[in-house]
Amino acid sequence: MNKPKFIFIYVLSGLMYIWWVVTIAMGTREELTNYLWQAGLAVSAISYAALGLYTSKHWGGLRSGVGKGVFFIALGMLTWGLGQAGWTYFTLAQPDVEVPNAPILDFLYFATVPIWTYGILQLSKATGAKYGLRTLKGKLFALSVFIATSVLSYFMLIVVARGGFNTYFDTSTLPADSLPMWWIAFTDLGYALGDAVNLALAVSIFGLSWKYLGGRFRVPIVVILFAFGLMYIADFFFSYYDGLGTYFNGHWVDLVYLSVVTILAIALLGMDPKSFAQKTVATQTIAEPAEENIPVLQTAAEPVSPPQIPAQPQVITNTPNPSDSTPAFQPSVPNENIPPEIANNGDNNAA
Amino acid sequence: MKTYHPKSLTTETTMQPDTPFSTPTPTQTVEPPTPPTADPLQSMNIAHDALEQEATGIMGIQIYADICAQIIAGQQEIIGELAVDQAKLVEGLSVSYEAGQIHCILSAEPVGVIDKLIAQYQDFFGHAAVEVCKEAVSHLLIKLQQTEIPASLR
Repeated sequence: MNKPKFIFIYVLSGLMYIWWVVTIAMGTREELTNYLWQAGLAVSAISYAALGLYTSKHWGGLRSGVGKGVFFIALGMLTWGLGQAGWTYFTLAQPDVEVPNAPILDFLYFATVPIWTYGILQLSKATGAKYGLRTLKGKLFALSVFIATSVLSYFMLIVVARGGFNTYFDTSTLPADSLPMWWIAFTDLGYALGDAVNLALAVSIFGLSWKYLGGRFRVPIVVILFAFGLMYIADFFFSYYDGLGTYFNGHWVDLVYLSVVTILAIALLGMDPKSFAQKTVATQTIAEPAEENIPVLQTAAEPVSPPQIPAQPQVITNTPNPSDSTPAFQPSVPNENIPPEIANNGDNNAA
Repeated sequence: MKTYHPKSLTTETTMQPDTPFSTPTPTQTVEPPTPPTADPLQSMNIAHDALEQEATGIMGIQIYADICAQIIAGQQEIIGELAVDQAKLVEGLSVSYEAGQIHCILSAEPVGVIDKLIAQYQDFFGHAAVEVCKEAVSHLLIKLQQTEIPASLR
């Protein structure tokens, strides 16, 4: 059922990988092909996000925890893709500027962080992570992950990538037409912090769910968590090379971004329950006898003798009718719900 | 989505006279053996005990039906309408979903049906789904004896 969608992802991402290899092999930089590749990355992210949003519909959309998780993760990919599309527009409009300077782009990229955070938290409802937090060991694990991630992120994203915390507020290196320092600091720092939070959440949820998560959707969920770890790496290296002034459109970091959106797309599509529903519906019905391809749960269940269903089952309503003055259970009072043939048999037996 | 409220749930149990778990229906004439010189008061006590036993059996079934409905409602918060769809695939369990309320009808041995229902969800997310089921019915399990609790919920 989802095979065409998977093929679409493989083909589009495959073409993008090949295109990148050719571009790098030819040593092209700051040329149209580099900017068009960025446009291709935006198209990939936006189209993959659309597939993810459609998948969330099969979980009831925003009416279920998993539906919300899939929806918001896909929505985050959409805003990222729109940011990437804006990035492409500005680079085509100003080819000599490798890193566009536009607040709308900062807003779009920054928006992905809380959207993805919410999506990860909603998805964690299905993983059983909260049950891992019930023990002291689980609580200590989550706390240590957050501390380690914070320290690692400060070191990687601020000290190594930017040369220190103060550079976020150093106005001497900014061009004259630059955005306000507070905006740059807010979005850059906020994005870095958000990345760290998402990484910490992904690692924590993975660890806390280890004993609980299983079933058909274990692999897609683990892959989604892995994708956020990869996004963290991609953002770090982008900040690092951008800080050094050596980033260019078509850099290998962009290949990591392409890998992230591709992996997320495959994982979100793997979360589609409709791709499995057909199997269970075909193998399980109440009236049909057991078949060879029935799920394990039937074969593992205790054998139950087939009930002899009467012509009309006797229904017992446990909530008494307030208008009925007679007591609830009176074996001697004939029940008007009994079909005549059964009532006659009862009378014969009584006789 | 309307939240499931156990107090407003209407459960029905369909009794199959020939199934191992059937109990005498209120409509069947139950004539306990009485000695020739039986005291009328003693006969009434015996009939009352029979009625009580019947009521206990019916209430026991109702608890299992409530457990099924609560499990489905708990899973519904995680996986949405799929929870009802998956429950409909369980042999021995009839589920209807109307106006935000879940109605369960058991037509087989309740403990086995509940185990199958949980296994259906376990197929999705593994042991995490089992924990969701346990959490959803924890307030109902205290009403059951340890031997009456399905293995999946222990």
